[in-house]
Amino acid sequence: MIRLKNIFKYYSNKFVKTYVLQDNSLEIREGEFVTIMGPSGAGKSTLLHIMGMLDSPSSGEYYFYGEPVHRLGEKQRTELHKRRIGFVFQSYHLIDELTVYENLETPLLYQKVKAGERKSMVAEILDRFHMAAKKDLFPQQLSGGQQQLAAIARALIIQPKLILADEPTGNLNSRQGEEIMQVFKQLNEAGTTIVQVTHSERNAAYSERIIHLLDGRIVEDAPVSLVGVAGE
Amino acid sequence: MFKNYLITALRRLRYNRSYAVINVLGLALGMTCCLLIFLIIRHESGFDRFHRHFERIYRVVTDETINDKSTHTSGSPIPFAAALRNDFPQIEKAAVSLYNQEGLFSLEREGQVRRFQENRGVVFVEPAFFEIFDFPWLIGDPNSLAEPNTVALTEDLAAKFFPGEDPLGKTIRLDSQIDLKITGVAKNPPAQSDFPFSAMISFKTAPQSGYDLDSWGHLMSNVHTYLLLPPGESAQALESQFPAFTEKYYRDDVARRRYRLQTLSDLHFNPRYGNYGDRTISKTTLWALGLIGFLLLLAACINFINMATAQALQRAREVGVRKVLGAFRGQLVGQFLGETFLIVLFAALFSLALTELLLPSLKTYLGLNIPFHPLQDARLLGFTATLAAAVTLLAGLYPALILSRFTPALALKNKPAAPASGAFNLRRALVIFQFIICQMLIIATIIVSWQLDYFRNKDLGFDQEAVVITPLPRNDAAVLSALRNELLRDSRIHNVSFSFSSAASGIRWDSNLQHTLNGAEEDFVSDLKFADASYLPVYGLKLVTGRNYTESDTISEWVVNETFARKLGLTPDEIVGKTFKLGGRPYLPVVGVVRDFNATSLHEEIRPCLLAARRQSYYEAGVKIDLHNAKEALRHIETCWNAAFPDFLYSYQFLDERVARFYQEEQKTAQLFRVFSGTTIFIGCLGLLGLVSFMAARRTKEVGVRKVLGASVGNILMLFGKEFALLILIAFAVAAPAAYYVMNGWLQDFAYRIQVGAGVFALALGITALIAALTVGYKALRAALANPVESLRYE
Ligand SMILES: Nc1ncnc2c1ncn2[C@@H]1O[C@H](COP(=O)(O)OP(=O)(O)O)[C@@H](O)[C@H]1O
Ligand SMILES: [Mg+2]
Repeated sequence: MIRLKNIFKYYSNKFVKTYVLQDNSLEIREGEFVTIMGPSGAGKSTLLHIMGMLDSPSSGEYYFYGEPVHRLGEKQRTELHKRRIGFVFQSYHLIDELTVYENLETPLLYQKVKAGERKSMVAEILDRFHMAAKKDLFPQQLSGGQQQLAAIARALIIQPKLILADEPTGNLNSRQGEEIMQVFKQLNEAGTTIVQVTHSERNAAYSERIIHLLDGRIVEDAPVSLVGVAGE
Repeated sequence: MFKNYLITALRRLRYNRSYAVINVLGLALGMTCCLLIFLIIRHESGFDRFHRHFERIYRVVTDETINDKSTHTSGSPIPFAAALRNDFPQIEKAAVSLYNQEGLFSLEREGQVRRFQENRGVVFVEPAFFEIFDFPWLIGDPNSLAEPNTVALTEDLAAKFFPGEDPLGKTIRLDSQIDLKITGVAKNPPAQSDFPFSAMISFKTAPQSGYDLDSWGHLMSNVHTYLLLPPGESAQALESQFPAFTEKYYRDDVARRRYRLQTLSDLHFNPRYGNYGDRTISKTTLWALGLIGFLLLLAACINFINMATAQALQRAREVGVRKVLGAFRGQLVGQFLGETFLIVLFAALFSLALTELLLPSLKTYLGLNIPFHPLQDARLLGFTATLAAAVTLLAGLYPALILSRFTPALALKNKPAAPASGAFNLRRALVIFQFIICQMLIIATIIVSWQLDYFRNKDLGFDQEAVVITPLPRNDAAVLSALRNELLRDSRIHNVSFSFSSAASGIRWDSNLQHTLNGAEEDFVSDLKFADASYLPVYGLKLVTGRNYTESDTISEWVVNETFARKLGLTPDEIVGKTFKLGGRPYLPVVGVVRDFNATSLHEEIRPCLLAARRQSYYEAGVKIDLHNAKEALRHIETCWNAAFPDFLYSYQFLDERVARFYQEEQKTAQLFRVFSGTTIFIGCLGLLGLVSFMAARRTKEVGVRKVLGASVGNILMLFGKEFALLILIAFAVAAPAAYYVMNGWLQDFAYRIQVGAGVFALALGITALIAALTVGYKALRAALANPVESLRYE
């Protein structure tokens, strides 16, 4: 599903290049549940953004379902990711001025889904996350866990093939975190590919494969059982 | 999609209420001024456009060379039109009109004599005039004016004279001597016309009012010749035949006079020639107004851009999220433009309401009858819509492009560093630009005000205080001497002088004189001021040398002004004793020289002037009164006047009011400019306030840290002040020379003008600095006084 080849990412500042990602190659198959781990500033978010086409690498090749993303323009990339990829962030990133309902509806608007269909899709997902009662509330009126649930619901409404989650439980207490991970697990079992960034070993244990990033390089890429042993 | 955008936009406005208010208010003020300026410009440029033949109507005007200087008058000789009809069959129509402006009408109604003093609108006119222009008659036929002693009234005047009666066939009397039969009623002329006629008297009646219909030599600015050329006929070709044509009729004037054809479209804009409406507005003034409107709008848009980009950080996250959810850049640009449009729409509606509110006072002030019916006025609506669209693009496009450019990855980190810093530099550039606009307008306003003050305070060479002017409808010796005696009987009347015109007057009379200073007889042109011997004391004119002329009913000796002597290359002492001839009289001596005085407005330089006694030409009385008892004095004058002229209606004017009236149009224009530049400055302040609030908010932490480190309130104020001081100085460096250039050009219109010195610029700079300091200071002070612990806690 995802193939990265020799991906570099650097920021130039007054002619000094700071490398954030250095020569990373990686493949993720459909249906996998992958965790990216590493210390703060290692480049995890950057890697995730590149996978999600929110950012582009400085050099290297990226194939999404065989499609050469690195050769596409902004518009085509948007067209590609808006139907297939759902995002979840540590700080939820709901739009403050919109109610829960309107937040969920927004991705459908950008996909030009008809009004009637939109209504039923939003209603269905609200049901699934037991949030129908909260649909007219604004994000600030929800707890952190509820906001993250809404954000996940919003990511799922387009029925994405891939979910990219950047420290989704980072701002939540452990019970709320547990709940989110359960959702991911069910999704993965239903066939959705998931790539998550996390610092928590417990969350990592939900996945099948762990990629370790250090100073912009992938230093380890192994199934979860082995990593668990190595980490101990 | 649209609903989603609209909801976001409305909720944003609600959350950021002060931001919305500043934006809507700023834009609405800018748009209101634009609407008002649009209405003024449209009104002024629409004068007399309703005539079907607008494009083909011309007026004959005269350029004369006098003492090597050229003068311009809208007048042409009275027989000109008839001669044109005779010699140029290709001219479709030609008509002469003589605008007498005011008249006293008396009529008998219900057995009583009633008098009406009409202060404008009385004209002698040929029937052909109504074939050239479209002033339709409701009753009667314009051809009836072919007969002498006939008159047509407008509906309003007819209703005033004969309420509820049929005026046709009735007789009214003009100036207590000419009987006129009413043969028609015309529609009131529209407000947008420079022909504000109310009583149209047949031209053949003019001789009874003392006009010589065959005089080619006499030029009067109120005698106009209008003609209608057939389609395709060249005005220039006709003009070029004028010298040969006029030589045939009047040999003397060929060298001195040039007759030209002025298009009807120029009538309202050319102050050189003027018009019957007695008000021209130069195209430059209209352009200047338009420019001010544009600058105002720009200032308002700049505010908007500044506030929007200052807020960019807050919106970056939303942009990132929307892009993550699949928004294209174009859709985001559309969203932001839509938001701007929403604000502009509020502003536009608000500005229509404001215009409705403000227009009446503007109309009264400017004396313009500007209609305002926005719902029926397609062009006004079109303009408003265009304005709204333009403002949306001008104000919204740049922020929209900036905001939608954030890459989602950066935007979500709330670190859209690169575009934001660029935006900040642009923001400084825009603030500088706004300061430039403000300072230019401030400099212009100061210069205009100072020039007008200069007019008001300039020594005119005569005393304009405490002189009451009244007209003299008759000037027989017995009446005048009785009037003088009666007036002087009261001790509150200091002195009385009868004259052709007061020391300063809008009416000028000039003529050719002969002298033999260089041996042979030569011509010399001078203004004439006929007046009795009290003229000098009443108006405080000072003799430089010699003596005043002695009282007499006819010319016996001259007094001249200094310019008269200088133009002839003589000193005042040398000219005393020299002789000059006027008309068929013998050579008469100069007996004295008066100090130069401004006999007309300060737009014109002082010309040679000749004073002499000639009772036959006295049309005005100047009465010097005791100002402390002005009320009683005025009452006494009125009583005496009514006793002397029982058939006429009394009116008076103070000399200083008459002088002030010369500059009335400038005063109005200046006031208009003052109001609009004041608004621009206010809009600028709004923007500054908004900007400083953001700056203060952004710097809360910095200020807190600095205070913890021991910075004083003064230090913190400096932090804000330094930045704006620099911007003001840069703007000043641009604004000062630009304003100097423009305003110096404006000053060239005046023969007497102020010198633009450093003082103007220092004052402008001071005003800007003060306004900016007050605006910025308040917010900065609040930031500086905030408890550092409080401000740090929020970070
Ligand atoms: N816009 C940027 N300019 C310069 N450096 C950046 C920028 N964004 C991120 N970085 C740097 O890139 C590195 C990796 O960032 P990130 O991918 O967010 O790390 P992680 O998510 O692993 O904590 C960090 O050192 C960060 O400072
Ligand atoms: Mg990160």
